Amino acid sequence: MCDERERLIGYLYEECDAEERRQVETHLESCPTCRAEIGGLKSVRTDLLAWNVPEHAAVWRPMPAAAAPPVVWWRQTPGWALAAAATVVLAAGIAGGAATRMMTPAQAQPQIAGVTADELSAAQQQIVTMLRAELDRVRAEASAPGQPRAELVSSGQAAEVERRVLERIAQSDQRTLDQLNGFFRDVVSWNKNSDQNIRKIKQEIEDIKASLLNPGGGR
Amino acid sequence: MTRTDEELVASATAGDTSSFNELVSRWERPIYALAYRTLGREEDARDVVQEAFLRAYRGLKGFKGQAKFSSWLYRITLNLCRDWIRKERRTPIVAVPEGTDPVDLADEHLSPTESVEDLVARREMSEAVAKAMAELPEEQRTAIMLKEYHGLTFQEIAEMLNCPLSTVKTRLYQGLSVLRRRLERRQAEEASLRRATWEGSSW
Repeated sequence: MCDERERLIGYLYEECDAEERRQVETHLESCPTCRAEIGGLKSVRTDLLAWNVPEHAAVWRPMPAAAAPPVVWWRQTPGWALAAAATVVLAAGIAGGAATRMMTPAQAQPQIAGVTADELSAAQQQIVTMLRAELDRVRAEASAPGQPRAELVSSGQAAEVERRVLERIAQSDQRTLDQLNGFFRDVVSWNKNSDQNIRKIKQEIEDIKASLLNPGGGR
Repeated sequence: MTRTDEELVASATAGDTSSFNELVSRWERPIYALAYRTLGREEDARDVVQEAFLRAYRGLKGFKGQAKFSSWLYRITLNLCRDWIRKERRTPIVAVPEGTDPVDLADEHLSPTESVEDLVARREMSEAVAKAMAELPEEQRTAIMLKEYHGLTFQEIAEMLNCPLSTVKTRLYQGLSVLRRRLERRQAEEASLRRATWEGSSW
């Protein structure tokens, strides 16, 4: 076969200029191999039309027109509010870490560790949710007509927000500590119960052994 | 007046969800067809389409219009299909449509000039093409799909697949040549089967 592949493909899909087209046509007149080749390729293209895609219901459910685009919340938060939030989160993190270390007895740490991660993660989630709600509220206030952002900052509302956020975090921290204490109590009580059960089972085994060794002895 | 994709992308980026909905309704069918023909299974295609539009929505701000919106969407879809195939560690499967029984087929929409036999033949041909395409190397299959079923130019395919124009033409040529051989062999086998059946029944 001639080395006409690229030109034949361009001709087949009619993606060539007039000059190229004329050259291919001239070539096809004198080359039976390429003529057969182009005929075969055209026939395959016809066969390809048979490949159907089954009818299907719409996949994408249209979004309601009022829906806000799913932007990341902190990208829309004013810088000063974000900075305030970052400060309180950092402070809460340090305080929370210290509190957790203080309330966890060293010997019980392995049992607590696996669960405290979950508990803490839930608490963190709670903090983030509260922060978000608080910042949304502030943002709404800031964008309210007649209350320019500069005025809001200078009026000391930022400090008020910080105080409220800190208060919420303190509440959340307390709840986390309560939950952890409750869990710790459960673990201790479970340990105590399982010790009792083991002692009971051991006693029963001893009784069975004794009765086997001394069948007529009775108890 | 119908808005262009670019206009819709601009308003969708500015937060107008109805513009994005319009883009989806415009492109869902071809995107589904691409995913279905690549993966061969309806539920997989649906999942990929959903993910593709989700990614497009999230990535709208990063889409700077350097390519056509449709090309960008095709590229997202192809990447997802590739990940899907890799994750499933399998080659695309050939979905056999249900209802190849002529009685079932008779219930389907027949064009006024099409007999049940024609419809059966069309179905069989569709399956044969799907099977032959599934056996092609991925790069040839993708080039053929984008050209034949989505009408992309050589240049658009080259940009989408990040390869030279001549490579696109070679892939198309090689892919079509293999398909041609396979489909001709199948037709020859069918003809010989029909002949054998006819000769058997004449005794």
